[in-house]
Amino acid sequence: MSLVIHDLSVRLGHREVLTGIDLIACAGEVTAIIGPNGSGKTTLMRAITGELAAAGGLSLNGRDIRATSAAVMATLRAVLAQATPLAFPFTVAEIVRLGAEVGGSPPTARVIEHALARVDLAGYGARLYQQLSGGEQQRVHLARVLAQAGAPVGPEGPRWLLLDEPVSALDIGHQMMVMRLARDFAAEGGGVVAVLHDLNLTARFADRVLLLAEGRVAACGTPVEVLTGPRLGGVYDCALQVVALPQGGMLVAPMAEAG
Amino acid sequence: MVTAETAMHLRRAEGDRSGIARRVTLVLAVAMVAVSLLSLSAGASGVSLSGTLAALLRGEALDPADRLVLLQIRLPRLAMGLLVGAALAVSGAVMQGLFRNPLADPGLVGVSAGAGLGAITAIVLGSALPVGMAAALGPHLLPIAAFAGGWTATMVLYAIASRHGRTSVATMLLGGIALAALTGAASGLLIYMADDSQLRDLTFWGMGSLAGASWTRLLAAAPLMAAGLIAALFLARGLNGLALGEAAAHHMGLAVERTKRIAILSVAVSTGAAVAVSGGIGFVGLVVPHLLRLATGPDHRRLLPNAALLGATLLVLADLLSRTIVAPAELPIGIITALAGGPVFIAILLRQRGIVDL
Repeated sequence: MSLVIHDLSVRLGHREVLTGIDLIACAGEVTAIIGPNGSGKTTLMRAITGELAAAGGLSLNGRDIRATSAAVMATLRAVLAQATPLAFPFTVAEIVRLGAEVGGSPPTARVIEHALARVDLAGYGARLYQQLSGGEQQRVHLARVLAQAGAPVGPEGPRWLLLDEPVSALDIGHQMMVMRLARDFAAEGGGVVAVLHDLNLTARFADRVLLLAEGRVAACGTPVEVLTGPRLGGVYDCALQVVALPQGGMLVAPMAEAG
Repeated sequence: MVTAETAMHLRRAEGDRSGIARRVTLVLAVAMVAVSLLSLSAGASGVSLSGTLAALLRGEALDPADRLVLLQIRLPRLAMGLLVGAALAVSGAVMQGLFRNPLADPGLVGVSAGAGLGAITAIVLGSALPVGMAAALGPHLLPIAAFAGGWTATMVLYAIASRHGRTSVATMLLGGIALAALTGAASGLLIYMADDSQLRDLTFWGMGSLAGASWTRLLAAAPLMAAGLIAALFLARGLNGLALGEAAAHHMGLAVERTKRIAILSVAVSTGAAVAVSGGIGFVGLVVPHLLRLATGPDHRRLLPNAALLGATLLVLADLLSRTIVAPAELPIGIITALAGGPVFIAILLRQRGIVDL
């Protein structure tokens, strides 16, 4: 069971924003989409969620995404968008409840509180969303998405988390927490596709990396294959080095400025 | 007997206000019945409901004059007040959900003005219709024309204010003002063209009053208002999703486009029919959903039915005041809703300034 993207292209107006994208993301793995600003990461994500019209092959668990109703898709995958504008003064618990209702399981207090505890917001249920900090708001939506996704594997096969920059507003501790949640979801059989900016989180948590540059695939493979100093330096237009850490893993860092 | 396990299951998460909202529904239903009985028993003629009920219970025949007052004057007026109040409040709530903004209100952004233009067109140009058609439509012409006007205005406004699934508040309000000005100009032109008898009809219609309520007018407008209200009840989940933006609503499996289309139609039929029978009654659609969101949260599954109950109650109460304050004369009901609604709305805005970015 996997997310299969074949020769996908997306046009926005007269401009072709994505060209010839190929990707196979497997359930049980965390797949990271990385690339500079404007390289098409979010556009690719929005094509995968079915929001944008796209040419080419696009299927999830063997279903053609564009031929599947929104209601069915909502039971296969949950989506965390980059920004979610909220119109009215909902409490935190009410927002998570909206996600839980989609998942089909009854939106009991236990489901809502469990989702909040997983994103380190236990006891925040009665707070008004608008009174929270940006990072807390991002975690509320993650809790809503987790409540919608439910168990990593459902009766119809693996479920998917599609996360567009899930850690952009978070401190380092919560970044680690959210990435571990994603890892655990994959370890239990679910699929995770995440747009990430932080190359070190990518190196540490991703099983597979898709590097986009100007709307095309610059590289695709394991972190060790994709994240090399010269390649990243070329794509991000900035001198970068990749250092192997003594305890395993690697670190991507800017080169020291010459003299 | 409630076991510990079902009690656990029934327990609501801290911050989940759906339990309070249910209790509010009950309180509002009781209040609506109480206000309705009060409204039936008060009026210029001095017929009292308690006296009538007592007479009925004793098995005595009702005084024919009392019977006429109750059945032909107060009862249709009460029914009209309940329906118009519910329609205005629910239209406000639906429109606010559709535009994702607590300031959207049919009266504020030109939808009522559009419905008004439809009504005025029907009054002034209705006589130009082929005789057979005018006869076939009869009392339905005015509500249908008002609906068409309100629907057009809502569609135009949505096209102006929404781009790529996002609604700009400034564009919505400014577009609404422009729309209201344009329809106002067209209405003015029609009024300028109207003859004396049409002018009398126009004045009668435009007073913003339930005084013209009769079974005939009620039967013409009630199906439209009821259809709009019933359609609105199916919108709750969709509007909840839209509160998180169109993208999130789509991600959660909701039919976004269908929700928007039904919402626009529902607002247009309800507002159109309400404007057709009662002229412009302001502030109900703005204040009622606002008060309810403060008390029980924005979940539309509770907000919409509660808005219907509270809107109906408040409008009947306002009508009762309008008939009794200066009895036997009547104060236009629009004055009362504006007098009560304006300050409440400003107070809400001041309180919410820190919480909600309008």
